[in-house]
Amino acid sequence: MKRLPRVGYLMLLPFFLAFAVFTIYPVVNTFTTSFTNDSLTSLNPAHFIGVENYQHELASPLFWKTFYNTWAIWLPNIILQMALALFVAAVMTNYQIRLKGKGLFRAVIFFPNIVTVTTIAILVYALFDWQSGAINQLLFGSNHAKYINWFSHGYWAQLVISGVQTWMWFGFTAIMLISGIQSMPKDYFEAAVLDGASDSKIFFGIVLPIIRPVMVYIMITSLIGGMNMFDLPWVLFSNTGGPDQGAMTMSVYMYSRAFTWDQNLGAGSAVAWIVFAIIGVFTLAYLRVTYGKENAEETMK
Amino acid sequence: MKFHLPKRVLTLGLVGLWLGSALSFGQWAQGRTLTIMTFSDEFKTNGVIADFEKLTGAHVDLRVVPNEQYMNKLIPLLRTKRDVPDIFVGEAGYIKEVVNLGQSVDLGGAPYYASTDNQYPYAAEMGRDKSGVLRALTWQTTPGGLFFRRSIALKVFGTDNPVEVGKHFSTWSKFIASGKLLAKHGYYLLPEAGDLGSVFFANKKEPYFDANHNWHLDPIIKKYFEVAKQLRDGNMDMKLSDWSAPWMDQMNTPPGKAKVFAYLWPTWGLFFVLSNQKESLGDWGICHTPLDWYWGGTWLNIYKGSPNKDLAWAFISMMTQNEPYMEKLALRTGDFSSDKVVVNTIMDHFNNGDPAGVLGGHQNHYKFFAETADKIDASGVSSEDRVINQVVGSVLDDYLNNKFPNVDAAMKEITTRVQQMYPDMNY
Repeated sequence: MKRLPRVGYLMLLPFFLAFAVFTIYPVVNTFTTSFTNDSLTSLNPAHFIGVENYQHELASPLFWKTFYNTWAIWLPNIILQMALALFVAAVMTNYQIRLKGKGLFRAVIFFPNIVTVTTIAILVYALFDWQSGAINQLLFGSNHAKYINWFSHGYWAQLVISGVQTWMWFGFTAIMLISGIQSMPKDYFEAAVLDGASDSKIFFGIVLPIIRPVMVYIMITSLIGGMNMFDLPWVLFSNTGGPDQGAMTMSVYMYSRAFTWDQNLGAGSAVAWIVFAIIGVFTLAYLRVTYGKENAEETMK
Repeated sequence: MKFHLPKRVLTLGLVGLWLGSALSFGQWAQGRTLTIMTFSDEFKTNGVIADFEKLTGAHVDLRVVPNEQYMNKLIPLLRTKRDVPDIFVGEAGYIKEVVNLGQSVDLGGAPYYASTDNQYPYAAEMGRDKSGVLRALTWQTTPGGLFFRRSIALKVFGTDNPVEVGKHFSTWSKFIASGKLLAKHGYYLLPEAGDLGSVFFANKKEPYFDANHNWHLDPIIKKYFEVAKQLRDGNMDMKLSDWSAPWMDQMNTPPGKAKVFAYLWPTWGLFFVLSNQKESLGDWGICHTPLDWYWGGTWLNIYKGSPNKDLAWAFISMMTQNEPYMEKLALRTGDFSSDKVVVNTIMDHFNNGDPAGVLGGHQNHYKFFAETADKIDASGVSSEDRVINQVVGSVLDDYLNNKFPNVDAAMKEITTRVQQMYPDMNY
C-alpha cells in the first residue's frame, strides 16, 4: 500500500487540535465534573462525591417534569413538521403539478431557519401578545372575551414553542425530503405510471420506502435537537420556565442548575450526561423499531 | 559676547517649566493600565474613563460582560487567579454575592479608610459583607417612586400636585381604593400588577437564607401577592407584560389618550426610559408609594490580588469620595448621587425640573429621590435575591392566573421551587 506523505498529517492537525480543545476536552471535563461537588459559588476546590449528583437528579421531580416538558414540546412539533414537509415535498416533486417559482418557494419556506432565535422570540412576543397580538386577532377578531393569554398556562406555552419550532424547521425538512425524492431514479415513477398506479400508491408504495433513510436521519437529528432544546424557551422565559414551569426543558434545567440557581456545576454536568443517555436510548429504540435489531446496531456503528 | 534673555521670556519659561512638571506629576500613573470589568459601557459614555485617564495618565481597559453572565465570568477568573480585573463590580441583585466571596479588599481599613459618612445608609450597607466589612462602594443610588400621569390625576383626583396625589397612595389600602377609583373612570392604576415586585423585594427585612442556611420567606412577599391579586381581580392593572411593546406604547401615549395611570420607576427610569417617551413628556409627576424602595445600582470592588490597588483606589476614590468630582458627574449625567452632601449641593439645580422635561410642573426629582433614599433599608438583601426574586415573580404570574386556591398555597409553591433550585439548604 502506498504511504501518504507525512506532511498530510500536519494538514489535519488544526482540525484535530480544535476538535480536542472544543469537543473532547469539554466532554471529558463534563464527565469528571459530574462526579464532584464543583460549584460556581465556591472558590474552594471540588471534591469527588461519586454518583450522588446522578442519584439526586434522577430522584428530582423537577427533572422529570422537564423531561415531560421536552417531549410535550418536541413530539407535536416533529409530527406536524414531518407531515407538512412530506406534503410540500410531494407537491413540489410531483411531475404532474408543474409549479412555477419553485426556487423562490423553497427560499421562502427555508427562511425561518436562518433567522436568529432572539429575533424569533421578539416576533413571538409580538404575535402572541394576548391583547394586541396578531394571533388572537386572527383567531377571534374583535371578540376580546375569547382572547387566549398564551403565556398564562404551561400547555399554551408548550404549544406556542412547539408551533414555532415547526415553523422554523419544516422548510429545512421539506428540502431534505425533496432532495431525497429527486435522487430517486425516474424509471420507478415511469414504471409505476405505466402500470396504472395512482399518485397516492406511488407516494406510499415507492416514495416513502425509498426516502426512509432520509426520514430516519431527520427524525434522529430532530430528536437530538429536540431533547437539547434550549434557545427559544430560554429567550422567552429565562430560568423560570415560564407559566407552571411548562417551558423548562431538560437543557434549560441543566443550564440553570449549573449556571444560574445554586450554580452547581457537578449537578449540571450530571444532568448533561443523563440527557445524553436519554437521547442514546431513544435513538437506539427508534432505529430498532424502524430497521429491526441487527440493522439498528449496524446503523449505530 | 554676552547673551541676555529678556526678563519676561525668562519668567514665562520658568512658569512653563513649573506647569509642565506639575502636570506630569499629576499624571502619576502614565504607562500603567487599570482593568475594570463591568456590565455596561456607561463609564465610557458618561466620560468617567476619559476624566480618569486625564487625571492620572493611566490607560483604562474596560471589559464589558453582559449582566446575566457577569458572575459566571467573574467566578472562574477569581478561582484561577488569572486575568482578574483590578476592579470588578456588582449590581444590586448580586452585590452581596460578590462581597461575600472574600476577594475584595477592605475599603474601610488601611490604606484606604473610605468614608461612608456622607453616603445614604443603604448604599453603604449594600457594599458590606456578612461580617460588616466594607468591600464595595457606589457613586449612585437608585430610589424609586410612582410616576403618574398628571392629566389623569387631575381628572380622577381633582389635583395633579404630586404631594396631594401621593396622599391617595400613602398606604396599601389607599393604594387599592385609588386603583378602584381609577378603574371606575376607565383607567388602570398600573400596566401590570407584578410591577410592584421592586417595591416589595426592596423591603424584605431578612435574607432568603440566614447564616445557617435556613430558608426564610419574608411575610412582605405574601403582602405583595395579596396586593397584586387585589389589583388583578379589581381590573386595576392592564395586564401588559413588562417591557413588551404594548407596555412601552402606553408609556408613550399622549395625554388624553393614556389608559395607564402610573409606572413604577427608580431614578434611572426617568433618565433612560421616560425621557425617550416623546409623546408623554411633561405629563408625568412622581409621588411616594406606601413603602420606600430602590431598584438597581452598581458597586465597585478592588480585587485583593491586584497589583494595581493604588490605581484602582484612585478610580474608586474619584467616583465615591471626591465630592467636587461627584457633583460634576451628577450634573453631567443626571445620575442620583450616593453622597448626601453632593445631593444637597446640587438639588436646587433641578428646581426647574429634570433636563429632559419628563416631569411637569417643574417638579424637582432630586428633592423627591433624596426624601426616599434616606429611608431605604437594605438589611434584607442576600446573595440569592437575583434568582429567588425571579422565582417569586414566576409564581406570582401563576397565582394571578388562578393556579393556586389561595395565597398560602402560592407561598408553599415558592418554597417548593426554591428547594428544587437550592437543594442543599435547610427548609
